[in-house]
Amino acid sequence: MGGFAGKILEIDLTRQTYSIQSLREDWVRLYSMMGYAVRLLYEDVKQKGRIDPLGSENPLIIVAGPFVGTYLSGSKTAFVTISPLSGYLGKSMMAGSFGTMIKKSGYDGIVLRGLSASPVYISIVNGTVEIRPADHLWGKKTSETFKSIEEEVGVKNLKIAAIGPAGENLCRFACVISNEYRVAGRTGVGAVMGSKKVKAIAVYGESTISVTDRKSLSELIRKHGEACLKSPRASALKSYGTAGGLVTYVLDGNVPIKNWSKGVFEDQDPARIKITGQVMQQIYKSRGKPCGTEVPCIIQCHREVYLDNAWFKHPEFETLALLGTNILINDPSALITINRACDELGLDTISTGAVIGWAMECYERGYIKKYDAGFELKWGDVESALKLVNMIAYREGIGNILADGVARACKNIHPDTCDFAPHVKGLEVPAHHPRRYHTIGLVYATSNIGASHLQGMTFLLERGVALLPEYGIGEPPKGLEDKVKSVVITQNLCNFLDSVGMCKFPVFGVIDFDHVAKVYFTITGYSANKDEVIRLGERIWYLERLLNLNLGLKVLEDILPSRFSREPLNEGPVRGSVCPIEDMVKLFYKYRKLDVESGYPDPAKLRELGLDVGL
Amino acid sequence: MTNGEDSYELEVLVYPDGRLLKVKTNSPLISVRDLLKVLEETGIPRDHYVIAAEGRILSMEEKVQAGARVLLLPLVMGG
Repeated sequence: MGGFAGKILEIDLTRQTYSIQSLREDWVRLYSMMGYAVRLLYEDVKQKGRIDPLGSENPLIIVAGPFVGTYLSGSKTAFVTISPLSGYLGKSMMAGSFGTMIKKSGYDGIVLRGLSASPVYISIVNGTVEIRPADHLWGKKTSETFKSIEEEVGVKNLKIAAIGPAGENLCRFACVISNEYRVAGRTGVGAVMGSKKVKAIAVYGESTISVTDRKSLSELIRKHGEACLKSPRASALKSYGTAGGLVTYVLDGNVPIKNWSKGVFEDQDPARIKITGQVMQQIYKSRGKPCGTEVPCIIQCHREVYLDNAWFKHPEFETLALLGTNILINDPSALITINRACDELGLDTISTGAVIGWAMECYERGYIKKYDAGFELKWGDVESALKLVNMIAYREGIGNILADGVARACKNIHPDTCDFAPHVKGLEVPAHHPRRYHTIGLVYATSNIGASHLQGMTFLLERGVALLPEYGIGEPPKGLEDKVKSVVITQNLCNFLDSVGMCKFPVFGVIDFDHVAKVYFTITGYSANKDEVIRLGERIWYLERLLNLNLGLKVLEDILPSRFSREPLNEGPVRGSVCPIEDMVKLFYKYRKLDVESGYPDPAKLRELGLDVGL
Repeated sequence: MTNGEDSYELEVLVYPDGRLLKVKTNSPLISVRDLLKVLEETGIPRDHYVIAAEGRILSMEEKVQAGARVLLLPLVMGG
């Protein structure tokens, strides 16, 4: 099995012990690694039934797929669990070198089970596993945590994934962040780690990562590098990072403005929009770099800004949109500060921005009063936003309600506010706009983790910057049927990429999946073509679906917030448009062969995919 | 705006540096697709950019009138 170490490290936090499990090759072939983690979770749920996401029975499974550490551009590590936001599948992909170090330590993944009685951190250095006390780290922000652990472990190039105070305080959208400042941001994986009282995992290893055919892989990597350099999409990302997309997206109508209630930001005048990657590059010294020391990425969309004699992470597009346009903040230095605060506290910037936007609308409409918050929650007020970020992380005052995410908070504040609470299955809606790109609305509605743009980056297809002729999408999908088909195809492909540990940016609009299939073969030795690649991703989608159904998912939850489907905007680039989500979901059920009453997949479909579950 | 009997001109403001390009065409109306082709001849790769006016990105089929000022934006899509 090239590309795999063949072992999983299982840590029992309740007993403070660990064991090493061999990988099941049949599952590896069926699902690759992210899918493997979902299968482990599925088996747990089958045995135990519904699992409390913050209880002892919820595992946190961290896996690095076969592409990780092979010197391909971009590398992702999957964090898989039951989400404390949805109660269904939670997963989030972390870029950078953390997964590479897991593999260099001789493992394909780490499973955290049980709950520790007191704070700990886990050190894995050249195969030696230690569960160390972390009382002295509990309460610390992430940068202090990294510094302390780096000093204590005393190994150069140690890779650390940690939680901040938000994870400790079980904020349901807390993230896990690495000492390369790459984030497993979504679905509250940081809260699950916090519930286990695991402050951090520090990994260093020197093992060689095997691949089946190194020579052929090197040639494919070279060709891939050339494709990255030629691709307009990749070169634009290289120049400006994802932050460079903000101005384009504002003029495209593809951002949230005022909690999705407005269609115009700063009169749509680019000269007035100060939070774009391009303007920030004019104001601050900045640089692009690979997302990790072990990831020789050509695109280098990860950018840093130089401030106060140090380099800091440049806010990403999603952060600039959710904490910028969404709450009417147009101040680059404020965005850098808020972004930094979220990273230090361990908060997902997407959910944080969505929650604050919703709270500001509650305030404007009188559902939250000044005395509830202790201050005014005015649109565009940087100080209020920053206060809320801190209050959420520490669960102080109204922050205690907001830290549960919009789906729970709206029921707590007033049921009427649920009408404008932006979430799907409990996960807050990211920046891409379902009124502009209807396919992304369907991606949000039918993703197995809730509203995530990374479960099907169909806005790239609708815009025409990334097409998939090898799967019959040679032009941007226009009609409803084509749009729905493009969602199904893209969901499957995103699942494949997540499972092998490949970043999506150097793929969509850069190389085709015939190439990806060749890479898969040269690494793993598993013969595959583009059809088998998409089949693997499709298989994971159904496995995830079955997991969620076993956790109680209902058909009615495959829906978008009504704001996107029933409230057209009267201004801006998406004026008059709504997402026809009900018609799209109906077609989606048809293409996915899902029962319209129960949401269960047709058993024949499961058999066709070689799935031995759900039958 | 005419500039001679069958020559027209429009202005293209480049984002973010603010450079102003004057583009000559032989028609009072030019599609965005054709405008990007004309710009490509000046070294601006057409797949890398979009044209915007009046606060929104124009589709390839939309026409721009001579004398108008439009915005040329790098097409950065990710995140």
